[in-house]
Amino acid sequence: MLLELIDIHKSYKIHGRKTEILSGISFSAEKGEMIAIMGESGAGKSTLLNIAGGILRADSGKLIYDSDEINIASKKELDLYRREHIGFIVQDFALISDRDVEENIAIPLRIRKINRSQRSIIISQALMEVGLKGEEKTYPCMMSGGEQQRVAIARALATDPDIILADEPTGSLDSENADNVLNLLRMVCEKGKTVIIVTHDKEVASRCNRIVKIERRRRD
Amino acid sequence: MFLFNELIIYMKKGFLITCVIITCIATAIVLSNLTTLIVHEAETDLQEYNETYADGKYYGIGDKLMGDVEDVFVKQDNCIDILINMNNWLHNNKYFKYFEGRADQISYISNEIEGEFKDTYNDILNAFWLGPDDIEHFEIKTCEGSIFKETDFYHNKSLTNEPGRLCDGELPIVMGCRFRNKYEVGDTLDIYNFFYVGKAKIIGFLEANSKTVDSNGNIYVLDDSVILPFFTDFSGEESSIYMRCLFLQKNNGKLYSKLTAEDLQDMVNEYMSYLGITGAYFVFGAKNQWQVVFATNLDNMINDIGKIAIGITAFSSITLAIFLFVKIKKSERYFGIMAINGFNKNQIRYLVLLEVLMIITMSLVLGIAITGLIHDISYQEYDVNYLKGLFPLVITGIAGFVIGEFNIENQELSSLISRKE
Ligand SMILES: Nc1ncnc2c1ncn2[C@@H]1O[C@H](COP(=O)(O)OP(=O)(O)OP(=O)(O)O)[C@@H](O)[C@H]1O
Ligand SMILES: [Mg+2]
Repeated sequence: MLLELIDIHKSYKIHGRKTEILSGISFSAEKGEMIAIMGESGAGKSTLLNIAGGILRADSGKLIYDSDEINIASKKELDLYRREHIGFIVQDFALISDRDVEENIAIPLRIRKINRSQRSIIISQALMEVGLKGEEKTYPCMMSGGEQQRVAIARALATDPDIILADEPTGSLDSENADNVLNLLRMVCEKGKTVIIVTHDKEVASRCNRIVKIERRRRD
Repeated sequence: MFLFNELIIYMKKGFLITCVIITCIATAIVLSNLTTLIVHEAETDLQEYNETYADGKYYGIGDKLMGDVEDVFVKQDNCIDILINMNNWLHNNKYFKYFEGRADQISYISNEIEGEFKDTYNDILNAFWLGPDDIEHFEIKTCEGSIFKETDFYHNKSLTNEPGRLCDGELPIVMGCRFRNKYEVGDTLDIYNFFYVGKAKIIGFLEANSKTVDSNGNIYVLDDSVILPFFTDFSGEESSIYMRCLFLQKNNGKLYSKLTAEDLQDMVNEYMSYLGITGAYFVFGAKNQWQVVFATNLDNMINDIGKIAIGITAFSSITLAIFLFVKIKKSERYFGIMAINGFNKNQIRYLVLLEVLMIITMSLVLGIAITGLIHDISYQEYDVNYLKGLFPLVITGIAGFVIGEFNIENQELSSLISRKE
């Protein structure tokens, strides 16, 4: 197993009351798998994905990457894990609007202290992979939603992570663009990366290897 | 390096407000240092003049009758009477003793090339106008000849209307001990000075190392000086410029007292208001002296500037706090994007704190630069206390730090990304 989440608990304070969203969920993904996480709104899909990606800490449970347990109590280990292994894609692309495509993709590379010349090689390669060759100087606002999401995918791929976590990547795209993005993710997956997609769309889910359903807990 | 790049991009947002805040903090720094300068300006003059003579202190007294103020003063018909009254008051006060003594220079026609160039060749000598009370107080004695008699201080020779009048008689003078090998008692010199032009007759030589205090407050050794009696001349009704200048000088002496400069200034203020010349005279070092230009006294000025500085500090702290709060709130989405790109919480925190530090550094640099400039053009030799500027910085810095920490600490990275832009 590449990634394992075991007995994950997570609760939020909602209206001053502690409400458990995830109560003992376990989940695992193998290398090269493309998994869809489905479930009704509020079930905790995003919560689970964020825990898997290390930007949200579970209250309890285990996070195991490549048979090494990551101490979820340690911010440092989580930060490191996230930086080394995880690429994020979100519904609204999370591009910085006043920076051009090149600068947006450069952010994770700069954080990882990759030098300028290497950066430009990586960026043009990533753009080629998502079919946006030569768009380095374009600003996100001048692109369609599909194109923006492809830039976001290029950015996620730039650091060569093993796991891509996508929270409703096609949620704000029309079917044609959604298809493009999905094909792209499929391709990424075939190169040996693990792709986990949270989606409401059965069409999207049907193109994954496996579907994981999360039930909404009944609240008191 | 990366963080620095991000910082610059981050700081560009709302940079105009940042500039306003920087200017405010810098102003507060400048103002708090300005009070140092003003206090200093008053205090430089307050040297503890000379403790060898007695248990009191010497305080210089000066006037502000210069420039425009002088022009107005001179137009008063009784301006000379006012000056003479002031002089009498100074001399007849039970709370302090008054000394007129003052260092000056005189020209004299050299004896050495007597004859040929008598009218054109002249030389400069240090001179000291000794007041009537100085001799006794400073225990000034002669080693040869005699010292001035009381009558030597009343000079009633015929006058011209010009200042620096040619006099018929001979002004008695005493020489410092250095002159003993050059002159003898009874020799005469042709001297000229604003207050006297004519013959001067040596009546004695001072003991070596005779001392007094000059009007700048320093001990003044008389060995190299020609000692002149600082005479009083009441006969010059028609030479008003002369009389005015004479008494202006005579009233710029020093007070000897056990009281503080402020107490003395209070007395001077009271008498000045009686004479109708409020603000004209100031006791060196007194913080309650009147600032003619600002129509207030120094103490009030320092207080006011201090209050303004505190006000600006409070304003800039609050503005900085609000600015940071709003900016962080608005940047949450950006922080979230940085987080999914690999930023950790500490890096976000550094970004916020570095901005605060940058604002503070820039304010400090600007504040010190302006203070330094004011310091330079004020011709005052004193150490600028830049630490004073840290007061506003500490307050604003703490405000910034608390806001930054407070905002970032309780946030999950995952909730930052879900913020709308
Ligand atoms: N930071 C938070 N603080 C409090 N409650 C939260 C927080 N994040 C999520 N929740 C709550 O937890 C529940 C699950 O949220 P989550 O976003 O994981 O659901 P989801 O399955 O992704 O739903 P959707 O399909 O609408 O995106 C929701 O009821 C939500 O209101
Ligand atoms: Mg969700």
